[in-house]
Amino acid sequence: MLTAKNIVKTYGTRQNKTEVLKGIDLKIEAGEFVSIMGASGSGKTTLLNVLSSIDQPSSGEIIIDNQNIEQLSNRQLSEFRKNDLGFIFQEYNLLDTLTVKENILLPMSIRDVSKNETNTLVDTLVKELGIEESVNKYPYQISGGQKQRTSAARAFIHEPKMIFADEPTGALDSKSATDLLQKLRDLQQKNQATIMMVTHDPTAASYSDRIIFLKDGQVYSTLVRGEKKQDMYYREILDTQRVLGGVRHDV
Amino acid sequence: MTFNQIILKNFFKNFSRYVLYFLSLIFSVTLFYSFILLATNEMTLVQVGEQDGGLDALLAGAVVILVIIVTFTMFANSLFIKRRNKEFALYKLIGMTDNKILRMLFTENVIIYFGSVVTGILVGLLFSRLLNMILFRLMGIESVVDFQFSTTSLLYTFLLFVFIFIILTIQNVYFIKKTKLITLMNLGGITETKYKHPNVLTYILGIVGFVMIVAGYFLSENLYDIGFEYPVILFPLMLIILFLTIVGAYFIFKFTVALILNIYRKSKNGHVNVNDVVATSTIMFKMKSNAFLLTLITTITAISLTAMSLAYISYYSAERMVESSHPYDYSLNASGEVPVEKISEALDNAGYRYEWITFDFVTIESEQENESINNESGNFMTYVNIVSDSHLEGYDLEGDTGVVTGTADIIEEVLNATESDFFSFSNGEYSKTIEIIERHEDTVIPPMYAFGANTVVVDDEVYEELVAEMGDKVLSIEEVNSIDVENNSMDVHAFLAEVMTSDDEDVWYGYTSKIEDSIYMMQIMGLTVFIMGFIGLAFLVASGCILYFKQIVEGDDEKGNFTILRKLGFTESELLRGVALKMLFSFGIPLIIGILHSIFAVRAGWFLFGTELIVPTVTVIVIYTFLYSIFGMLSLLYYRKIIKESL
Repeated sequence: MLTAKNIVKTYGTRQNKTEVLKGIDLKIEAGEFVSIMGASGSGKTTLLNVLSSIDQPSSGEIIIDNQNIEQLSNRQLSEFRKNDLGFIFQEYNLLDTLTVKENILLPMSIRDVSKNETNTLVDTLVKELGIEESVNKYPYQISGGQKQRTSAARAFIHEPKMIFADEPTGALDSKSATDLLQKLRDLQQKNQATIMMVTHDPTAASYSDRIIFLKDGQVYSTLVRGEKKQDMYYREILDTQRVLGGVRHDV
Repeated sequence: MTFNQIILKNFFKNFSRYVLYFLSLIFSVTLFYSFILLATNEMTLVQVGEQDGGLDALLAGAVVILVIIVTFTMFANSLFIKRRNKEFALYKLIGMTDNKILRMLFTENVIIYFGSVVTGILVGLLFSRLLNMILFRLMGIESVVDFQFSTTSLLYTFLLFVFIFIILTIQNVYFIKKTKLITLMNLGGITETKYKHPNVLTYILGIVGFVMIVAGYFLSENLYDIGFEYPVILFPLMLIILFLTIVGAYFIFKFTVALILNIYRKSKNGHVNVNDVVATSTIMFKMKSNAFLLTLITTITAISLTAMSLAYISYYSAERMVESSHPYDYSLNASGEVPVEKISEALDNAGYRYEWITFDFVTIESEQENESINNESGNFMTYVNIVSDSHLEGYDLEGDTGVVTGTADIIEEVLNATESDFFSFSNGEYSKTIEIIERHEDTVIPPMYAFGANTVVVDDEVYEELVAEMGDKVLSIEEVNSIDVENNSMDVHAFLAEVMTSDDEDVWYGYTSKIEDSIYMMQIMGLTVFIMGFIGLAFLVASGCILYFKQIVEGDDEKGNFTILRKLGFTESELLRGVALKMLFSFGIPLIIGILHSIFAVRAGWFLFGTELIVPTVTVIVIYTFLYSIFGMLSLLYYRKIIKESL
């Protein structure tokens, strides 16, 4: 689904250069749920931004669904985002002036889809995410967890091939977080979507099929869940994190 | 729900955010439309057009207003479009093309512009009637304002806004096309300037800024002393003062304020209170990053205050100046004899009560010692008009003393061009020195006779002696023929003008009329005050709005801080007090520096414009400060809303 070859991203001027990504190679299969973990400043978010076409890499090649996104024109890129990509962010990125339903429908409103069709889509999505009570409310009237689920629904509504999520549970309590992740996982399996999620939370990461650990802009190690139970997987994540010297968690 | 519906809903729901933008646009339209309406109104044209350069002045005013409006709307637009970065980022993320976003912006702007142009023109129509009344009143013209709808001004206003619309569209296209998605997503975060610890250079520049301003003020106070010593450097000196005060203000915003607050904060040693958190720390950051903008506002404030003060000083002093240069209602002159009999007869017949003032004065060559010019002492020759005190009320001189009339003390004082206190007359064996004991502002000889020479009132005996002894040094003996009329009016003026028309081609009559000159002065000054006031108002509103917009953006950024503080237990009113302090700084510092600038600027040159300094200047400053503080209050209200909503 996604192949990245030797991605380098540098910031700053010629004299004062900081290399954030130092040549990253990775491959994500279709239908896979991959987490990116790493300490603060290891380049997680930068990697996500670069891979998701939000930012341009300084060098390297990114191929999503057999298309080299560097070679796409602005218009083609828009078309690509419109049809194939979905985004969930830590800040919910909802428009305060639109209701939950309207926010979810925003990606649909720029394409020609019949009203009935979209209505059924929204109805099933909000039911699955458990926000059917709040469809007609405005973002300021609902809780953070509900906002985050709205944002997830918006990422799913057009059934994209690939979803990018940047700390989607960052602002949520553990109950809302696990709820959301479970829903994300269910939806992903139902729609056969590919998810790439950046997180620093081991619990969140334990919902994914594979975890890529970054350290100083390079891939440090990879963990595959395989047939492991979630709590075993979780323990392994914590161990890797400890070795990495990132955030420490006591079990 | 289609995309267009969503966009429209988003727009109308967001309307409260655009209100001020909308209002400022309406204001711009109103301002421009009514000004053009005024400038193209036939009645105004007839009345104002009688003044030399009156129309040019109106036109120049329109151009200045145009420049202000264009700059201002561009600024407001860029601020508002940047505020919506998150929204645009979202649209791009869900796959909207740049063109589609631009089409949406275009639609919004069409609504905003069409709405504001129509509203502005309607308000302008009402407003211009009031304006015209003010203009005529200032000019002392008594006529009923009759307003017709003008298609010319409509066309001009429309063209201007089409022009502005095109510029703003280009601005938007540039922003959307050139700003990368990643930048859009992070725009909010970038504005936070990184705090750098003040280093030695900051300290030095902080002090330099202060010193520069003080030096600028010092130079402006002594501008004419230095200028008289070395006239060549007068103009460069003015440029230096401008440089010192403008760059000095920039340094003050960039370094000095942060420096002082930093020292203050250090003295607190970590024990910060709510004011420190809400006010001082944000001012430290924001003043620095807004230094350029604040300097601009300070300069604008200084310029408009100075221009308005000087215009008002002229207007305020106009009456007085006419009074001091016209001792009598009418002064007559003729190539031959002034037809006193004919005029008296005519006035008698018409039933006017009047009085002739007729006396002689002598113009004599005099030697004068002068030290002030070029610092070379030496005598030079000049003509002096000598008048006997016997013809004048209120003058009684003794011995060889005299009073110079028709020069303002203040000019001598400020220019420091103390002329000699003695006038010497000599003619071979005879010589006389008159000591000047006083200088009076009011002249005793109408300027049409005095020919610009100094006029000195002396004792009657001295007068007779000079006439008798000075012989060929006497240039001429002239006669003053003036009339004072009871209940003088323009009717009397018209009547006398009629009488003073000569039937004979070889005979030439001349006259000056106090009432005519007075009305003329009032009209010129009235027009000046009106245009200056109008431009000053435009400057004021533009700078007020810019500061207000900045505060709105800052307020939105700080919402998170307020949430934290309120969670920590600070009350709404405590936070609001801190914000009020911040407003006082943000609005107050540019205003105070601007006022100081203008005070020194006015002090440097006011005497060229009029005779009264304090009352007009203080009036202008008070009114300006009042109107300006309205914008501070508006910002405070906005903050109150944010603080209320923050929890």
